[in-house]
Amino acid sequence: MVADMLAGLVPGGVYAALAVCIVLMYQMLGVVNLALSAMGALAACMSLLSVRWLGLSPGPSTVLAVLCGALIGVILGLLMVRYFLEASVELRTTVTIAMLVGLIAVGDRILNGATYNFPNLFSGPSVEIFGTGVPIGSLIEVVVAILLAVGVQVFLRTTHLGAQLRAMSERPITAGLLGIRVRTLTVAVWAFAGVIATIAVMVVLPTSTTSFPPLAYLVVYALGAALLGLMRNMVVAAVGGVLIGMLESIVQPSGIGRYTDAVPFVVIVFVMVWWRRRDVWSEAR
Amino acid sequence: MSIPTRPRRAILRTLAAAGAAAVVLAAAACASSSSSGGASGGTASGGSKAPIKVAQISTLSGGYPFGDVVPGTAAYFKLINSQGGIDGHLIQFQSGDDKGTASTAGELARLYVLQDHVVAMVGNTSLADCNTNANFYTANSIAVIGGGTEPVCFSQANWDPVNAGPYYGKVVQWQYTFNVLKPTAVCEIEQNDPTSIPYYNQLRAWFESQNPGVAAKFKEITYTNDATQNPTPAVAHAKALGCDLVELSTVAPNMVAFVKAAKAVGLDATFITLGSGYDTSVPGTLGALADPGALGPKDKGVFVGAELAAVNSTNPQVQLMVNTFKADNVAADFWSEIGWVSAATFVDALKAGASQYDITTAKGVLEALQHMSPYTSGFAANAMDFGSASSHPGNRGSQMLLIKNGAWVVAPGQNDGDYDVVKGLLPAAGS
Repeated sequence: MVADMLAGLVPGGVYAALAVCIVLMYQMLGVVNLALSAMGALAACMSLLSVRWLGLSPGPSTVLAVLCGALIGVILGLLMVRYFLEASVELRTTVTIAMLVGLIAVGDRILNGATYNFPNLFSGPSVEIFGTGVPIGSLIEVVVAILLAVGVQVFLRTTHLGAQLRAMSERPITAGLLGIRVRTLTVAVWAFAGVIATIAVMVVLPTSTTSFPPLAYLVVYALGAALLGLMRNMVVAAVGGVLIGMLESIVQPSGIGRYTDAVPFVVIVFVMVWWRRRDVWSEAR
Repeated sequence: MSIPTRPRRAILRTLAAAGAAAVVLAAAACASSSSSGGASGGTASGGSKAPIKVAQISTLSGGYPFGDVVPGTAAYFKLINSQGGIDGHLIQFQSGDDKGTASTAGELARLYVLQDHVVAMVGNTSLADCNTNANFYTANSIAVIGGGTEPVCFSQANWDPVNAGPYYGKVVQWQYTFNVLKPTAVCEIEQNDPTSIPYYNQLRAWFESQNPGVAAKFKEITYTNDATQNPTPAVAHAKALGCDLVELSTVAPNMVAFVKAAKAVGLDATFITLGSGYDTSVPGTLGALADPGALGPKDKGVFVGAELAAVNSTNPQVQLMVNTFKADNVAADFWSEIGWVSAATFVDALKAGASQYDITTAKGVLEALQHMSPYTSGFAANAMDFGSASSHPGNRGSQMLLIKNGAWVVAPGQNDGDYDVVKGLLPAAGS
């Protein structure tokens, strides 16, 4: 059981980092970005291509991938501010599905079902904990994801820019009239999310499949984690990501292992039912 | 520590939208991974006689892509067309990606058969075709020669797999595992495919009954091999159970992921998988990690049961394929081999039957195949024979390969061109 739980740190770290970005984008931009992990996966593909075509070593290719992640974020962010700045949250979220489909179509063509050696950010030895090797990159990712959650929340609460972002999320038109650069900040948040998603995916890539669709659907697990934080609390979302990774890891070798894919769905349903329990009881009375 | 911003009602409304989006996402998971759902890949351009229209439905995108099967098939038809076709009939070939979904597989089959009037399906290698279209093919006298990815593909009157697949191939894999590799503890991580699970259980029970002592060595049998899941939990569990051999049924990218994850968690074990893992890019991708002993003293290497010939075989028929692929810029691997051998079997049967049957009609093609003489392809353990029975004898063997010094080589206990074949009588697939 302990070994299974520790193995869950590998996917858990990715879910945590992605969940923080989901909450951030939802709170700041009013969009549930279902294309988040696809953005990161496509940028990670660029690292592969840079190694192949330009002969770059792992370090520079990783930097290039992160820059690509930011660029993808900028492009998608510009699309959002150009066409959907004043659209409803539901519509913006639906637009990200179209983005997801488009990114998968491109990414699937790049990877094309073959095998690849992606640059490894942390190629050092694994850390042995209770007899199980845990990749050092996954441990770092878990810690960084939680620190990121804390840092972003502190940033939003205590800095002038954070206040501007919060104002923008609440009343974008009013914020714009007050001189806040809504469009620039929106694109910046998309770029930031692209960077984080790229790093998150690249950490898990050395020990995961290189088929594109599974990488793009990492966001489903992260969405479950974001809901644990009720789409508000990034720290809980990050911890939730780690817990979902561990839960997935415990379920997988068990008798119900073939239903592991249902883990995020169960979490989502449980959270929504728990959250609405008072409303349900009120109506019943 | 939360940010007091968006109101609760708005969040709830968004969550409802997100829930709906998740449903769409699930659909998108299937529908989004390809842009080539329609017909494509024509190879013939006219001729004095009516063309022979054939099509292929394969899974080319998603978690389990079998991408090279289309160019492998097209390359053979191109070669035949350049020689004048079959009895003067050129072959028109088109293909479509079913994305592993039953709805698309069914849609494509009807498109090709009812609208485009193809006379046979050649090279089909799909996660959905066997299950979805069996009755449709029978009702329309459409013969299928392709790659069987599920046991159920091996028990249909009109569907003839050229590979040993998760049927004969699985048994050969077990024979080699227990007779040659002799592990003390085996963890089997099978494909998470509900259609195949009951049959796998039945097949294993049969094998265990034929080989006393084997049952105790299976320490773990799970059906969790899913491309959407990270392999780390599975290999960590295998380590905790003390397994020194891990059996997989998966495609090359996933097999590579399992081996890398094994290294990360410190699992010292041998890996063996079906021919689906036979990809020439694997040795280069794994590098030194693939060499025997790389994971520890119990690691005897990374093995595959190559259900068709090794691409470096000296067999002239194999060399013809490799050279043709090179000229056409097609990767030579298990999937392109399936396409090539399927097409070669089809062409051989039609050449022989052209004088007796109308090979431009589905019924004529089916009859030509049913009455064909066994075709020795040079790629399989036995001659290919479609026949007229309710299922087909198919390819009953596999050749074990091992990665050594950066290349696939014939595994210990095997000889180039020799195949291990299934010993004994298997239970009928899907029964």
